[in-house]
Amino acid sequence: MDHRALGEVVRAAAGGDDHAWEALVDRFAGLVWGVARSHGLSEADAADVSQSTWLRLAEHANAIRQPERIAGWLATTARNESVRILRRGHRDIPVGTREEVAMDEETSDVASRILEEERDIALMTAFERLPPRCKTLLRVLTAAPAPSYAEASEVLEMPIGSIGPTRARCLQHLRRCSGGLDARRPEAAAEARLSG
Amino acid sequence: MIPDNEPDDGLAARLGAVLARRDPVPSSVIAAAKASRVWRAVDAELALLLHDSAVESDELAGVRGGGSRLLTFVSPGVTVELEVLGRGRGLIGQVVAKGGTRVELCEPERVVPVEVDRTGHFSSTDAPAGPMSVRVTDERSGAVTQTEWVAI
Repeated sequence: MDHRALGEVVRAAAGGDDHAWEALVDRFAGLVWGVARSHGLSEADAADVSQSTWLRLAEHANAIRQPERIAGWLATTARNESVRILRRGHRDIPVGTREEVAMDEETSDVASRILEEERDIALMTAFERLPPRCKTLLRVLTAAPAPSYAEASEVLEMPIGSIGPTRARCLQHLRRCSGGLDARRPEAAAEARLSG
Repeated sequence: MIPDNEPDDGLAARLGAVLARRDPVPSSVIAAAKASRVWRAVDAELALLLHDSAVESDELAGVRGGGSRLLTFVSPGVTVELEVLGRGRGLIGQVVAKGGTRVELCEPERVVPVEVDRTGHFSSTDAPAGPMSVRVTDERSGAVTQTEWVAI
């Protein structure tokens, strides 16, 4: 990421600096994607939200009043576009080719790979059961690169002091969601699959 | 499933890693975001989205029915009304402006001119799902108005 202050990067990007624009995308593409996906949108719909959000930034770039608060602007735009798309109805056209999930070389051992897969799926399943507000908050806070507290506060429309306690409540909720439907330990599930 | 003694920071880090592994931003989405920069600083008056039937209350949307979506964009000199007829069924629209106009339908990677009749009506049967914007050029002054992008 560019070391210039974020506001300057936004102004440079608005003024035609391609490197500044790409730096903004590299920094915030995950945030925009996360906001769209935490609304429960499919990949194709989330791709539409993402592209519409960046196109809107392109056309509004010179009119952004507080360029240093660009994270909040992008998140609000992505949230509004997500709502439009949810109301509009779903799109079934697949977007591009899904990247293959990369496997760590060290986990080439089949049993441990299956075990890890089971744990991932369990965590994703629990995450999907969370209320949208918690999904968005955890998405935003665990995005890479991680947002600053000030950015998270703008994006989540929440005072900085509330972020920590809300995160703790959402993680507690995540633990509860994971305890519910499948009582088997992940190891047991992996073993069952291997021996079956 | 989640160990009771797994601390918040550890759980959050694991969740972040799982989301990054299982739901990464597709490279095509990043490429599209980067390509959007060509639409910066277009020398045009922006027509803002004033009304979108997709975000009306469900009750009103239900009354309208039929699956078409009405959008209204407004700038100081130009109003654009769009009716999106539903997935893959194209759109019809009307430009309200002083004098004659040329109309183009903009997609992120192409610009398609459409015919406008004397009352400002235009239509397209070829408007793919995805972000689009309408560009209106005043035939006499050459002044350009472009609507906000919206995913149809």
